[in-house]
Amino acid sequence: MGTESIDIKHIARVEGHGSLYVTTKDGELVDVKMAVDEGARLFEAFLQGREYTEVPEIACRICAICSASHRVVSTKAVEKAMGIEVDQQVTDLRRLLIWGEYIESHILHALYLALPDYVGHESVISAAADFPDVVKIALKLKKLGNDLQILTGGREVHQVTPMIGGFSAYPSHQDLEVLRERLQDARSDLQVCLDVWAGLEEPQFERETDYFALRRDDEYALVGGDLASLSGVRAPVEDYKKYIGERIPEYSFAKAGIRDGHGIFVGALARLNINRDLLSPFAKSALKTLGIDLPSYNTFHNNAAQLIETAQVFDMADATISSLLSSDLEWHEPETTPKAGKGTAMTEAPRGSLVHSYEFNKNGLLKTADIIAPTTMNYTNMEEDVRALFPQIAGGSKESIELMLNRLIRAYDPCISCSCHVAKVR
Amino acid sequence: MGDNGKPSVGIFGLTGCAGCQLNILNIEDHLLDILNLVDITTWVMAKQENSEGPWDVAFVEGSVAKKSEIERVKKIREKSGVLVAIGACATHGGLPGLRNFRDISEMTQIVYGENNDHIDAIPIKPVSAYVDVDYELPGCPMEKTEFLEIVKSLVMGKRPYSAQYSVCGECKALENICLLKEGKFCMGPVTQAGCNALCPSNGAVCEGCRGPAPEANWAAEVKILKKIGATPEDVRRKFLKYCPSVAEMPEFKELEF
Repeated sequence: MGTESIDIKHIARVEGHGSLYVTTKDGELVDVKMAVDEGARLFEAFLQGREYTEVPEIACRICAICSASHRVVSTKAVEKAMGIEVDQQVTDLRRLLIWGEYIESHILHALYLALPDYVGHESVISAAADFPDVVKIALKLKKLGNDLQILTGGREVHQVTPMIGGFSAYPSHQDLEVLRERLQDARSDLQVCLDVWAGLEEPQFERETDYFALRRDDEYALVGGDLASLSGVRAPVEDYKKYIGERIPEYSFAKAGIRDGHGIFVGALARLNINRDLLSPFAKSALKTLGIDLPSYNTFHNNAAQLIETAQVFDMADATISSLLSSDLEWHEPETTPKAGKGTAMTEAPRGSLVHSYEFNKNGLLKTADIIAPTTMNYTNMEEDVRALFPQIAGGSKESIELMLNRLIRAYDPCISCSCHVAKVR
Repeated sequence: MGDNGKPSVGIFGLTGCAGCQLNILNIEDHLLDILNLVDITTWVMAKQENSEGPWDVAFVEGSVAKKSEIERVKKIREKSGVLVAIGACATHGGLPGLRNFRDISEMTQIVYGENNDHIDAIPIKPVSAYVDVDYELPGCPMEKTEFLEIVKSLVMGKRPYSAQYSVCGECKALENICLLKEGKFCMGPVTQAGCNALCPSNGAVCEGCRGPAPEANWAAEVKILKKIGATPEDVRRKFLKYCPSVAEMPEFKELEF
C-alpha cells in the first residue's frame, strides 16, 4: 500500500477557501493538515487608526454570514471601552437582529449546505428536484431570518442602522407585529424540517472534547454572559486569553485555537451541551423530536443542534418582540463622545463563540484589535476529529473517505473568511 | 450552453467575506426561477460537484489579494464568455483594500508575528486590474435586484440596465432629509446609484461603497464636506474607504483636499 495522500482542495459547501490534506501509510493515518487558503485579510492591522464610530462597520466585513454578530459584538466592545450604556430598546433591537441572523444562518447551513449529504445529493440545487417541499420551506424560513435582520438592521448582509450607542432608525410597532405573526406561522414549517431531520441517519462518531460557550443563569446564552466550558470553567469574558490559546500552523493563513495542547469545540453543539438546562419550550420539543441525548459528543450532531437552536430562537424572538411592542419605540439619535480605554466583548455567533477586544486612544482612534472567530477556535479540534474518525472510515473507497471527511468539516459550519484574519501574536 | 440548453454559469469567490455569493442565496423569492434559467455548473460555496469550465457566464466575487489569485482570475477569464465582477471588492477593491495605504510587511507582522514567510499578501486590486471585465455590479454587498436584472438580461441577450446618476438623485426622489444639511459626511452626491439610497433612507450616511458616479462633481463634494467640518484626511478616507482603486484615477489625483 505505501504512502498515500488524500487531498481535498477547496472544501465545498462552506464559506471561504479551505483544504484538507491527509497522509496515510499502509492504510494508517500519519498526518492531517487543514489549510486555510483564503487570502490573508489583516483586519486587525488596518483597523488601527480608524475612528471608534466606524470600527463595527469595518469589522463586520470580516464575514457576511456572521455580519450581524460581528457588528453587535464589535459595537459592544467599543461601548465597553468608552463606558457607553444603552437602553432596553436598543438592547432588544440588537437581540432581535441577532435572532434573525441565527434563523438565516442555521437554516442556510443545516438545510442548504449539510442536508444534501444526508439525502445523497451534491447540493441543495440537485436536492430541490427530489425534495421540492423541504427546499421551499427552507427558502421561506431563511427569508424570515433575513427579514428580521432587514427590519432591525436595514439589510440582511452588512447592516446599515446599528451605531455606537444605538441605531440610526427604528422599526415601527406595525412592522414588528407583522414579523411576530410570520414567526408564529413559520413554527409549523420548522416542525416539518425537524420531522424530516428526525428521519435521517446520523453518522456514528463520538469523541469527547473540550466544549466552550457563553453561559448565563437567566436564559439560554446566545448573547451576553460568562465564558463557560462543559468541564466546569466559568469566567468573565475578559479572561478569554486564559482559556483560548492559539498556535500558528505554518501551512495556513489562520491561527488555531488550543487549550492545554488540545482542541476546543465551539458552536451549536457546544452551546446545547453547556446550556441544555435552559432550553425554551419549542427547543425542548425539537430536541425530543430529534431524539438526541445531551451531552452529545458526536460532532455531526452540530447540524441537528442548529435546528434545535432555531426553535429556541423562535421563542426568544417572540419574547423580544413583545418587549419591544411594550416600549414607545421613540427614536433618538445616539450621541457619544470618545475616550481612551479598553473593551472586550464576546458573543455566540451562530457558528460559535466570537471575541472582539480593542484599545482606543483619547481621540477614539483604535490602537490595537484582537479578534478571534469561531472557526479559528475550532481549527485544532477539526484536525483531531479527522484523526479520530479516520480509522472508522479507512476501509472504504477513496471517494467515500473523502465524502465523510468533507461532511465532518462541514458539520462545524466553518467560516473560512472569518478564520483567516486571526488574532494578534503576543 | 450546458447539456440542457441553458447557459452555463460559474460563481467564484476570491478574497472577501462571501457576502455577495450569500446575497445570491438570499434571493429566496426567485432562487428557484434563476435555477430554471441557467445551469450553475460551478459554485464551490453551494455545490460538492463542480465543473472546470468553460462557462457562458462567470460571476466573480472578492478582490485579488494574493499572488495565486492573479493566475486564478486569468484562468476564469479564459474559460468564460462573459465575466461579471460582483461586489465592491471585485469592482473597486473593496473595504479590505484599506490595507493598501499602509505597509503590508508591517501589517503582516502585526497580525501573524515573526513567522510570516508563508503569508502571501499583495496590494488589493479589483478584478479589472488583471483581466477584462464585461459588467460590474458594485456595492458592499452587491444589490440582489441588480444581480437578478443582469441574469435576466444575459439570458435574453440584452444589455443590462445600469443607473447613470448618483445616490443623491435616488435619495431626493424618496424625499429623504438631506444628511449633508444635518452636517453628516454623506457621499451620496458622488456615488453611483442603484441601491435606492438604502443607507440615507435608514438615517445612515452613504459611505460610497458603490464607487464614483459618472461625471460626478468631486471637487464640489470635497468643498461641501470641508465646509461642514471634515478635515482633508477625513475627505480622503471617505473617497477611498470602499473603493481603493479610486486612488489610481486621474480625477482623484487632481483633487485638492
